[in-house]
Amino acid sequence: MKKAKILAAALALSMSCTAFAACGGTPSSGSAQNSSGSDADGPVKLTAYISHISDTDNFPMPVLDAIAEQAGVEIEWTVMNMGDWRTQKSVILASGELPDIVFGCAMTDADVSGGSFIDLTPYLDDAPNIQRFLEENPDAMNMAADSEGAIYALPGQPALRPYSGDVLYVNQVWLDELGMDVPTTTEEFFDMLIRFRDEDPNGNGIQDEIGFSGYAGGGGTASILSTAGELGWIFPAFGVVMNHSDTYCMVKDGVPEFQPVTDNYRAAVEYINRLWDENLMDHEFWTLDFNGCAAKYRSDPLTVGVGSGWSIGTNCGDNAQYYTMIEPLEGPNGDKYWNSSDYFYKLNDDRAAISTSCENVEAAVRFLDACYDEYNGLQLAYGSEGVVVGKDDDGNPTFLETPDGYTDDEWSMMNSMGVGAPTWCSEEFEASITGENTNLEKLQADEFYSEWFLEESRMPYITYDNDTLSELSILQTDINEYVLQSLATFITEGVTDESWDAYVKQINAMGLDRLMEIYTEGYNSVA
Amino acid sequence: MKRTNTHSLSATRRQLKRTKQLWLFVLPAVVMVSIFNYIPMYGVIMAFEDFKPSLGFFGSKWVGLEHFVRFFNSYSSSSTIRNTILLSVESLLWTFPIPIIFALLLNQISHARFKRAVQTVTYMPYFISIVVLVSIVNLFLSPYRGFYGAIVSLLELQDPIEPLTDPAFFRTVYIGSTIWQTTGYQSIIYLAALSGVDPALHEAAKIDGASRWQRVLHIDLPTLMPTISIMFIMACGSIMNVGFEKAYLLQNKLNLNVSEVLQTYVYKVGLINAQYSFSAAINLFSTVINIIMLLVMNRVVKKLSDTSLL
Amino acid sequence: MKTKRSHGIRESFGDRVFLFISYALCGLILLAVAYPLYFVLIASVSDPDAVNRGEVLLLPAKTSLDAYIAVFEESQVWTGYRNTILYTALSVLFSLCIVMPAAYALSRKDFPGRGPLVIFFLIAMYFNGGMVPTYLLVDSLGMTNTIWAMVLPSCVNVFHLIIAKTYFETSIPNELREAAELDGCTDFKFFIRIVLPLSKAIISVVGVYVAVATWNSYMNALMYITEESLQPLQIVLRNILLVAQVTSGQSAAMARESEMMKYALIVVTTIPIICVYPFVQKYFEKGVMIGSVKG
Repeated sequence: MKKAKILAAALALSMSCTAFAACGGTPSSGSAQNSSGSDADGPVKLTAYISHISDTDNFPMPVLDAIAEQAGVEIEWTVMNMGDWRTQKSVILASGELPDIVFGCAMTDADVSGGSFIDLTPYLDDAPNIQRFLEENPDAMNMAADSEGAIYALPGQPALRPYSGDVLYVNQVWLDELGMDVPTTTEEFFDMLIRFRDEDPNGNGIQDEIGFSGYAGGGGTASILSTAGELGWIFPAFGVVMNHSDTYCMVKDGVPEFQPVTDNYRAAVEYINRLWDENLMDHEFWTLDFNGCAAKYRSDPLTVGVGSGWSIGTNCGDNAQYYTMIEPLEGPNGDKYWNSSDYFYKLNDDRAAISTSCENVEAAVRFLDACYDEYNGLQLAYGSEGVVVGKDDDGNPTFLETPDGYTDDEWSMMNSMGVGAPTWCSEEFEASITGENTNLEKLQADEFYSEWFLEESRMPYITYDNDTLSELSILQTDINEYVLQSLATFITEGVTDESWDAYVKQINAMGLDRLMEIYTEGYNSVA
Repeated sequence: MKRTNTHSLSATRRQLKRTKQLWLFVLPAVVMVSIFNYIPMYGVIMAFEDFKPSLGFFGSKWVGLEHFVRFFNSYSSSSTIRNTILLSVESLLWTFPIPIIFALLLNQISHARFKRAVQTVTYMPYFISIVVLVSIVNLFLSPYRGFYGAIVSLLELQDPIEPLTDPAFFRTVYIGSTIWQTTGYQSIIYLAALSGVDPALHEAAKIDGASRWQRVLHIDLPTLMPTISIMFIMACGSIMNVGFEKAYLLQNKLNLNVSEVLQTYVYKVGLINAQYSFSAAINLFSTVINIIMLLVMNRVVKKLSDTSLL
Repeated sequence: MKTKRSHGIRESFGDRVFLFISYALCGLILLAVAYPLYFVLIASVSDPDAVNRGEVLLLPAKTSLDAYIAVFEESQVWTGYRNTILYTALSVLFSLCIVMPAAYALSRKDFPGRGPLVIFFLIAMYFNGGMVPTYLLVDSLGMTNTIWAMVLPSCVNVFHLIIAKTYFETSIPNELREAAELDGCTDFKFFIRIVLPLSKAIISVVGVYVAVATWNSYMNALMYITEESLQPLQIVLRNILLVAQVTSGQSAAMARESEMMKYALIVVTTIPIICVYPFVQKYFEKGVMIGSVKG
């Protein structure tokens, strides 16, 4: 018996010993993907990973070949699956088998700062487009540089991205049916919804009208307060303008203020609770996902009165023609604002990086710089020249007509990298784009709402150092989840003085002070 | 008949000689497991480091128990652990016996076609992905649309129960859908064990006047006992393994206080800062609890029946 | 097989009630399980918005085969099928050949390595180094982007080992082995000629479990396979679904497409494996052991 035990243990031990010996330090015995010749008379060969490609049959896109040619390089692309990239990423980074360029694959600061990627700051002089980008947009520079000023990955700012994500729209057919005007205040809005509920505007004799709907379900990360399609559009009417920030803070007099414990926030929640109690809000709000919600907007006859989202067409599809966009609602104190952000929709972090295994960094930098050329960038994000994008008679960039059978956004998605593209677009260039395309319409909507942006309240993009990030990840998760959970309870059950006080007390007990310390420090380091 | 083990060398040697072929039987499995399970095991140290993929396991900074301390100090640790355990235990209580009962019932059926049909149909839900399963659950259990919705409007129920958002029903929905999905599949092993029962035993019992019920109790069930014991011990040894996907999909802001389990929590923390080490630490913690449960249950089952795992 | 009547023993009333309850319960279970499956089928040919509004109950709404067309248009689907069938067949083969003998050895009480080896295997099952070290190992063995990465790392499943061991312990009587030994039969011959034929049930069970696990798995492929030609069905279909899901934030049309395909994908992935089961079912029938041991 004993002998067998020793035998088994020895076997295991010897196996692990050889393993320790073999796996010391960084492995990777000759990665077949690192092939970069420094041919003086031929194009430099580079390897790259790319993601965000939905139609691999159409790959590589003409624009990628064009850019490569401009930069005098030849790239061997490997397409990574978008959705599973997060899982694969850790394995790829750990194995050390990185290609020369990681292009458009979602990475985080933690990924790029680990030593696998090179610091680009010494190369900026040879990259005029990128340099211009970082100089003209301080938020981009903020995002790009880590706490020591090194730039391991470049952010992307594709064209036609808005400051605000939401658009608020009302069922015009029903308004006309009931002879009502578009509501401008929260009380008018309330009354309108009551009439929608009671007076059967869709005329089918069933009380199936829903005031407004949204999707907080489909998985736990719905932030409800921040993004389009949820409840973010109600809060600014009460002076709570959180601007899509995960910090849930507003900047007031140069200091970040945590909104979910303020009286304004409470007033907003109480208002939403009134809507809930009166059955003016879809009671399935908490469990719907995007498709479940959108299905309601696409019904025939119409069943929903109000919606919010990226655009009217996003939810409503063909029913979009029956809805009109309206101004933000004015709250009881005369607040009339709209959420906006310098970076949430406009900028994407860590879009392009050059790994330490790249042998010809200058060539890689040349390639990336060419991607940051504005016209190239437009093609990367929306579609190649001749397919989606082109130049009109005045030499301005323009959108070509989308072929039949496809929607504008579908056509763009199939022929481009989408908004994950590493590229840049200046405001002048953006303004010069012509043509008819739903992608342009979003900018027009953004323009419409810009009147009510509260720029000084926006929290900037903050980069934290490693230790703070570890602390923050737990603290922010705990507090934010509690805020959202309480929001749900308050909306469905109402707010009392006791429950509100208990809620505030709990948040403080969870470490709100420390959280605010982190946010304020971060804010000060940026501003 | 057990051989008496004399501790003399010659006896051991004799035994080794007699069973030497068995060592060959076991060799391929041992080799595979050594290579694919034991060699990578060093990865467990990730839980004690500040792991950065590019620095590797031996280059990342050692932080000892820091992750565990951070987790246990956090506000959510006790609730997530509690939710995980409660969900798991309740799940075990329901999903363990039902496949056994189902197998016993099915065993009574002698109409071959019907039996095969039931088996095949109940086996199918196992293949439905969790995403689709939750979609179906959402559609069927919503009081505003679909099946349940139709009933609610037909009977004009006021304030109907909302199983999807009511925290009191989270576990019911979770476990209920698990039962639906896995009963057929889980019963396979019990059916296989029952197939080893000699029909002559049943005939003899019938002649002695035993009723069906008695035959189930005294023939079928004892045959299954070893399998049941082992399956039970193994199930207890997975007590902390509440999977991420289903809990995450069935979660919503209204039921978070019961639906936030360890894996969903770790996922959310990881969204803010890719936390390989943190999740490795939590996994290690879960593993330790699992092993303790395994050992305890093994002891308990050993006392109650003759079978045990170890 | 109606043996009851032929022996002339009448079922008592209690027995008939019990039997009736058994049939009734099984019938109810059949219906309860079948309806949602039927739902998946009709949903796969219905308009996704109608499905989401809960309008699809007993009949499909706005029937169309669009979802299936979209799925099969993906050129990769057929490669995916081929690959998955290959991986599944190989996995079952390897797994059975490695796990069954080991389980038999572990079931023998006179096997000295039994105790420590069970612990050896259990530790392996519980302590997992994680994705990264396993990947590094597979990579250093040169197995990435090969068939072997899909088959070898997961071929020993300790859970299967344990249940097979239990089966052998309870179904292969000691007397049988002793009788064989007296006849001069080696362990090897005994295993092949006597144990295996008697173990059709457990072989089928483990075979099915391995087949299903391989068929459904995608983690292996995700980590080890980047070449399109080697990707299994699950990955191909996951790509279709995930691409649409991820881009739904930018394109509502794509979100709709992903929704539409959700149910069809289930049908497409499941039909083949379901067809296999009835063939193995017969090994679970009663009476496998008849006449093995006399007295």
